[in-house]
Amino acid sequence: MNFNIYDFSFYSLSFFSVIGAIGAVLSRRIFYALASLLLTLISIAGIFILFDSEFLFLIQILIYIGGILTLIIFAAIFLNLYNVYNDEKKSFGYWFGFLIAAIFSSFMIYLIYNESKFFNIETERVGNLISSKKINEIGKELIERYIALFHLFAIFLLAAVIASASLARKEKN
Amino acid sequence: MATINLIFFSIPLSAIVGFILTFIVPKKIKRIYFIEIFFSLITLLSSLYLLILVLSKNFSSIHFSIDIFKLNSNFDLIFNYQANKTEIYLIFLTALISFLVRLYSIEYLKNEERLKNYFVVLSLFVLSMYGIILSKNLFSLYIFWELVGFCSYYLIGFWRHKEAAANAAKKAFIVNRIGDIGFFLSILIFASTYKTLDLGNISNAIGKEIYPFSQKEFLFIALLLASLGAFAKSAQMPFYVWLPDAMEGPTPISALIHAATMVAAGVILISKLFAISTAEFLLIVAYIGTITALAASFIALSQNDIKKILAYSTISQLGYMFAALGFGAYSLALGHLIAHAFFKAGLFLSAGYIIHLFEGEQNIKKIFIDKKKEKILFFSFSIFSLSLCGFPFFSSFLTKDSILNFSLIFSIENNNYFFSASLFLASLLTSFYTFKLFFQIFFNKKEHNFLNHARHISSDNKTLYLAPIAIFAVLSLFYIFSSTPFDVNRSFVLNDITSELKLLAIHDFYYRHIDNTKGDFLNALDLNSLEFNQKYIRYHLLTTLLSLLMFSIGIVFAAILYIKNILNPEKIKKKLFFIYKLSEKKLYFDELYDIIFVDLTIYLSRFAAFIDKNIIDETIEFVSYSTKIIALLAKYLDKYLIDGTLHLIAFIFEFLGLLIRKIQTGKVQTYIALSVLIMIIIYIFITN
Amino acid sequence: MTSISLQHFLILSFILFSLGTYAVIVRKNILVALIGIELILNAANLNFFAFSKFKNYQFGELAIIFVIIIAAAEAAVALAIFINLYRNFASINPDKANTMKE
Repeated sequence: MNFNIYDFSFYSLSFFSVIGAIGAVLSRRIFYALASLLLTLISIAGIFILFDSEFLFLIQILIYIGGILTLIIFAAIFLNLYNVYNDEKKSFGYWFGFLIAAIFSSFMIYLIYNESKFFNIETERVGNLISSKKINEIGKELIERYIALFHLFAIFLLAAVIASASLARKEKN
Repeated sequence: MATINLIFFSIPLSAIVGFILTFIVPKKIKRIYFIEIFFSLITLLSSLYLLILVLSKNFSSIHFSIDIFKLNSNFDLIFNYQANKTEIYLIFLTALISFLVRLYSIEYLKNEERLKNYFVVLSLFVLSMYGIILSKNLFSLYIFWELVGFCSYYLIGFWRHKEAAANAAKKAFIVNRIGDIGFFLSILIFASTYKTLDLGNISNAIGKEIYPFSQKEFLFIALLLASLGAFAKSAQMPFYVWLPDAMEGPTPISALIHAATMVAAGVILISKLFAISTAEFLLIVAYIGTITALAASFIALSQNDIKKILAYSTISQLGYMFAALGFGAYSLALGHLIAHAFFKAGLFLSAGYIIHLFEGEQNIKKIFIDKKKEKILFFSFSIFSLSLCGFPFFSSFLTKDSILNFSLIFSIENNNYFFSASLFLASLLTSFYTFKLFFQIFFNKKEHNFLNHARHISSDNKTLYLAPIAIFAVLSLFYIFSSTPFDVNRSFVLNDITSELKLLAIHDFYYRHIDNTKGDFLNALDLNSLEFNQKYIRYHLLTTLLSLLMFSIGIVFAAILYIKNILNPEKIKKKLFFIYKLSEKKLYFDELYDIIFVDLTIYLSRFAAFIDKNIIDETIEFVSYSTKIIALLAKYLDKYLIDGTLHLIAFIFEFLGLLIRKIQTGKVQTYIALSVLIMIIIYIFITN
Repeated sequence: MTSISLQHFLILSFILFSLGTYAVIVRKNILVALIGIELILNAANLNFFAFSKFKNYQFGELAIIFVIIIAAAEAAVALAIFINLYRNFASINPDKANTMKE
């Protein structure tokens, strides 16, 4: 069989993302979780660039890893969670959630492989991929067509900054 | 024509007016006497006039009717009254006897406190008797029938303070009532079938073969039911038990009611129904009559009370009359009725006189009357006794002899000698007890009795006692019946009555059933046939000889036993002890009725009391106990079940609340989990 | 070119999504919950991306941008809240903040 770099890359990247996700959600130490999350995010970014969308790759790395993840690490350091080891009991909710997850996932997989009935999506094996937009095209799209959303999000970000700043402020008692 | 009507109507009118006046007039003895005698004299004279008309063949029948109502064409109630020659004879009989009895009662009940009531009820009785005789409508007959029964009840129990009299009155009324039920049922059957109760119309309908419920058997049943009433009123078997006890009443009443008139009402009823009778029915009548004649004379053998002997002899002679009707000898029955009325009334009045002489003593073993001192009584009594036995020259010879002849022919025709044998035997017994009575009173001087002398009634008005007796004695001779003492065919009375038969439109049931192939019932006698007349003449001599033989045997025996003590009756009594006991105890009928009706009722009532006390009261107690238990159960139900249900519901809600409260854990992750779950569910439902 | 199909992407995003949901609901550490949220959002991003690639969904790429923007804002605010939470309940266990119970 032919060695397809696309397939290999995709499978390995997705594998890593899943590994990372598992590590993120199952770790007992917060910093280990965060590190795994880092791996996941990088893998997803890799998937983006594999499919020809450099802008999304950049956005992912810059904002997700550089912004959000850093922020969370900062918060962890701030809350002094270095050696906190979460000893969580496996309560009733745990197994209940497990059951729900099992049902849901089986349903989803069933759906995905029977999507011709539900979604009317034909299985596309031969990818005739649509090329992604370049950065300038995206910028043009934003300004020309989604200017309202653009502005809205700008205000939204401002609001978020102000809110978080005011929320996290120490009370003056 | 108008005068006849006037005279005829004066009879019922004066009876009614006499009754009403006696009822409303304030009591004063002379006034009552006057009213009574006056009005009964009017009826007597009127009926005498009519009788003379009849005897002189100048009489035509009188009809009148009273319309009660008419129910469109369905049913009409018209009271028809009819006076043919037969009725004129009977009315005369009643008028004469009632008049003489009233005269007698004036003397007999001289010191009675309630005399007014006596006369009121007596006149009501006579009025009702006229009604019975004249009625052609069954319902009107029934009304007067009941009235007669009521008057008899009152008069029997006239002396209320005597417990025996009160009981006898009750017994008479109850037994009569039982018969009346039968009579009423037959009235119902006739009314429903023929839509009319007029006897003439009914006999016309029967002539057209319209039977009740379309079956001839029902006519027989209807007739039988009616005859139950007749049997009860005329004291036949098995209803005779009231008549001997009815002797507790005053003797004039016994003379009037229980010898001459009321007990004759039964015979009158059957004679009215004769036109529509069937052969089976008349056979039953014949049987009952014959059995009664024999049984009553048998019982009379052992009696020692004057009035009881006379009562049983009445029953026996009535049996002869019914037997005569049963054989088809309609006129003989009525003729015997008339003859019997006179001499029996005379006998009773004599008995009353005798009792009066001995201050109430009624036992013939203790009575002796010197015949020289009471000549009229002696002669009259002997006439009555000979007439009772059917001795030639006397009135009842004609009729009784003919009845015996008929019975002989009937028995020979049908090869059933029961009838003739019983009737001949009965005549033997009749002569025996009659002369026992006669000899005991007049010939058997008692040695050690304390009433061996009769009081000499100088202060009493003897004529009022003796005149009626004498008159009756005269009437007991043959003259009233026919010009020759021996030939019944020449009897004007009987001929008159016989001729009426054709007027009654007799239907040929009777004659139709002369059919040898039908083996169920006996052959009827065809009175009109030539062969019957030949048989009659052929057997007549035999009958007369036989009856004389019976008579002589009876009188000889009585003489032997009772005149000169040739044979001691006590020894014979001991030898024939069982027979004597059977006779003395009136064939044990009273005891039988006592067991059947009285004891049964007492037993049933005791049984009912037992049930009531033990079962019903126990049931009530049980019910109350179970009510208590139910109340307790209800209490527990209420406490545990109902309150418990409330508690349970409250608990369930509390529990559910607790459960649901758990949802609100206050933990964010719980809320998130729930919302995810619900979203998944919605998602599944949407995609499905 | 490639045999990767839409379904591959969808499965991957589903896995990531479910893992993220797990983290949010089950883990008793609010920071791990935050991580879970991020995973969810990433899974959504992948989904958008897949559909924009395979189905010519033009808005898909822009959607990714917007999601990332919102994720950033939301992470900042969330952390501010978490700090407050830590200050009030002295624990990073969200179960401790159950004063809204009943």
